[in-house]
Amino acid sequence: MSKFASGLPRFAGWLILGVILGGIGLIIYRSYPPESSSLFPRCSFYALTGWKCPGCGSQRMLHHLLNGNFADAFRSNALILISLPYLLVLGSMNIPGVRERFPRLRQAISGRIACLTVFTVIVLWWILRNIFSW
Amino acid sequence: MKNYYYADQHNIQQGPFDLEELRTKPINRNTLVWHSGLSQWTLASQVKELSDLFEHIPPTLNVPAGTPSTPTSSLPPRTWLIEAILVTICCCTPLGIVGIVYAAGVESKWRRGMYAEALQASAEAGRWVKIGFGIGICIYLIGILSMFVFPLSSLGFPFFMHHPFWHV
Repeated sequence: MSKFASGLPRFAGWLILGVILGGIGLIIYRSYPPESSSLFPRCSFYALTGWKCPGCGSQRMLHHLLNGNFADAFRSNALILISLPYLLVLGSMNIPGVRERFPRLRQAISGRIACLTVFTVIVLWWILRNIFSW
Repeated sequence: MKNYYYADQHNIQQGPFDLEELRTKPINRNTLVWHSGLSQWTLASQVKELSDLFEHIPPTLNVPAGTPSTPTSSLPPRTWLIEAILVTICCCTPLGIVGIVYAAGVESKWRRGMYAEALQASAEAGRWVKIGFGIGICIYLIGILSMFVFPLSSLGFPFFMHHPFWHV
């Protein structure tokens, strides 16, 4: 009842804010290579230890991807590039209504087996990329 | 005065209420309730201040053995998995991984009828994700500030800024 008091669903404000901020973010990442400015966040794990974390290179990956440069995107962070579709579907489960509508998909991508797979893949990727300099 | 909370049919935490307010809310035997002093979310039927509410309502008929009892809602609490993954790859790898491990318990416990445990796993996952996110933001802000704050930088703080990687 009060949910539609203003004529808009309650989450509409967050949605609009998210679209605007996300859009600005994408334009920034498309326009500037992350190496160009120290305003882009650095990985503190890499700075401290000299080893890459599982997410190192994801900003460069995004920059190359937004410019259609798939080969460089793959070289920057292959794991995140490959798992982008999964991450997008998983993120869409947070949109009100979607979670209820696709219970089996939700179960498949965020159930116990899915979580433990994510855990294993991230840890393996973390170790292997430091051994083989991926 | 004790503060009471309950989980509504969408598993959203409602409250705080005092006891009189809580008793007017749409709660049934299976609603999860918490008040200070309880270690876990507890079924309303087992909270003694509320037990008289259900005296005249027949309990749910026994379901065949092996079938989990009906949940207060068919929808499990959120797993925080996507947030945990983002914290793992963007902010703070160790805390994000702790979040992923807790996320693994949420849906499976819910399906086995362990509703209170599922809610708790969800809350734990959310807690670690938020701590990791906060740490990530703090490290980023310290990095930005230390480029402008000369006296601190000259003291070598924060020390990792002096790693050659930082000065790309």
